[in-house]
Amino acid sequence: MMRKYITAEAIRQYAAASQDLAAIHLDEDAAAEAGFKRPIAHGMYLMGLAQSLYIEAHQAQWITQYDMKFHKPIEVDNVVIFDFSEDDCMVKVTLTTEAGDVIASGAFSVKEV
Amino acid sequence: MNSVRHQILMTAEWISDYAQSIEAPVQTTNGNLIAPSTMPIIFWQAFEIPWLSKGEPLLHGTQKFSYQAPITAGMTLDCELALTSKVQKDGRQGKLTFYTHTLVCKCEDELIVTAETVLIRVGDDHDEKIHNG
Repeated sequence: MMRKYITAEAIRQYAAASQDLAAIHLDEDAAAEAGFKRPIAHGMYLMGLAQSLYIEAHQAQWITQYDMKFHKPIEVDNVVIFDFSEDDCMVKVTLTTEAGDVIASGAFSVKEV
Repeated sequence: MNSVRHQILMTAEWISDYAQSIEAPVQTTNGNLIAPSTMPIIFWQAFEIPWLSKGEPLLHGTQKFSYQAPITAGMTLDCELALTSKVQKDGRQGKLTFYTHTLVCKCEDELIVTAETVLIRVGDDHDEKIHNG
């Protein structure tokens, strides 16, 4: 299980690299208009971060299949908990808030590089 | 038109920039950088997508990637992004429209990756730019 604090700066960097500049990820007013207290993280930032955390610990592997379902958004300045569980051929990953709400869940398979 | 094509050159710099943004470790094969598995999602930025309105808020429902081989620096990818289905359902928040997209990328006619993206629009179907069929 890994914990990651999601900062507004990290979201700005992801937005710049991905060119996903939707205001709800970057702008307090746009987020408020959509009913959030703060901008929300990109789902694909979280999906990418999950693969990075796993690969960081398994650098001889690359991901061949990767699926994720996004359940609910998370605002910046929150902790996301990444829980990985492995069986023979798949790695399951669940992203939750500190309160236990599921943000996203998925699975991936890997091969040796 | 429900599909668009674009050729994408994978540079080491682009892969590195994306990898840094998601804190991905550097991986190489045969001396070439490997793109993180989620990178094809940013290929969308290269496309003009006539069936989606720019700036329209959409929820990201699900995302899938399926690789035959890693994407590496130096590859030129021939990519096709297609709207493969549009389904309407009634949800707690009102009408939901699910747009399923498939992105297929090949290198020298060899399939490298297929990605499926489901985007969800909440509310009535007001977008006349969506074409079915």
